[in-house]
Amino acid sequence: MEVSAFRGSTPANISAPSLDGKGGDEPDGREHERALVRRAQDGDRDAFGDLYRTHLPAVSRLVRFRLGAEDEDAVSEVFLRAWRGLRSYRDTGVPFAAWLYGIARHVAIDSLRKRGRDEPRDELPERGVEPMTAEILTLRGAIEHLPTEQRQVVELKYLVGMTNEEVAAAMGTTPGAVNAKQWRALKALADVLEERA
Amino acid sequence: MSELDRDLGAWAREELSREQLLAAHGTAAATFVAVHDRLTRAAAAVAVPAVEAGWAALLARIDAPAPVVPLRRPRPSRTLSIAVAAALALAGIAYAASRGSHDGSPAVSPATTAPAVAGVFSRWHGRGAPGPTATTAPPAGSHRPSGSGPSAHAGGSTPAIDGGAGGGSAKPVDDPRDRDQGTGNDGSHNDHGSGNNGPEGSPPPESHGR
Repeated sequence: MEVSAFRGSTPANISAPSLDGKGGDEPDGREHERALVRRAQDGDRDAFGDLYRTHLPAVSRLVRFRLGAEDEDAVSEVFLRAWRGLRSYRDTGVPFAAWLYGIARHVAIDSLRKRGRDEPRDELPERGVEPMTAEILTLRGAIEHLPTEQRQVVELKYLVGMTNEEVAAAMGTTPGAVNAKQWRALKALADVLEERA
Repeated sequence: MSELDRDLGAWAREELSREQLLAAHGTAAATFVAVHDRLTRAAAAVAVPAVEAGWAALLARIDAPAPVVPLRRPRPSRTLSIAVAAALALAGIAYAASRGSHDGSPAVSPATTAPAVAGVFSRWHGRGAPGPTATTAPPAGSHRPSGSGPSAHAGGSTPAIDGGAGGGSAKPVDDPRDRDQGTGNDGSHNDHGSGNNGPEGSPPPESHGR
């Protein structure tokens, strides 16, 4: 089993942001998640609750990075739309997390529009903000400069915590191509961050 | 795939240590590793909302009725546009009616405008059905020989205002005594819808009285 770049190389003192348990990349986890999705599609709220608990960290990270701030309403909106649109979900081999990722992207865009911004703006960290918040804002600004596919790879791997195989399934490409895109994205990010330093 | 790509993949799979990677590729690999570490650390630092409180709030939203968003909002500009369009249409009709009443006819009647419509209609359909004037009583003073009604014309020859529509047999030059201008049998003679090509009461060159 190939370990994702994220999970495999995480230093010991950093907790890995993964799918946190049942929804992982192991066959049993995937099968368990499929069963939960099927039950939730039939209206089983408990099953949807399990999906919520599984994917809440990843969705929170996505929203946090996209909006640049914590927004529990936006996180809740992602799952609300997922619940309402669950019947339209078809298991075609693409991870359920990728479907949620698509919803989260739209929710973030809507949220930004509501704030009067059509596109996420570069925001330099303001003085006095918490260091990690400043770091997230800096990284977010750099990620927004990436081409769409590279940005998706970065978000799916680092924020959602998918493996190369899962990202490849979600994007309709090969794990090797995902790997190449990831390193190209990191190189581009390094250049942007260096320019801003 | 370059050697660096391959080794980065091996490092990601923990088949290669960080030290080995940096020793083999130096600064190039260090750049990737640094960004990778920053992303990893920032993602891990994102606070996750309280799960059960969030789930309870979500359940409340699920149970709440979905907001009804009207698909179309009433727009004042639409009402105004419709009003202007209606006014223009009415003005056009009134103008057309006033033109018809100034061509020498004593009054505007449905018979003066209907033939044009009927003529166009019969042209579109190429049918021999008589136009509205065929069934309406002719104005006083006109006469129509028996057996020579419009239904006798091939091609539904309801006369039209332009003199050319409705049967297509009207001549381009009208008799100066003719008052109907090709619009009907309201004048001193009946041209049978085929034009003013002869003296009063003379039959058209063809098709009548058969």
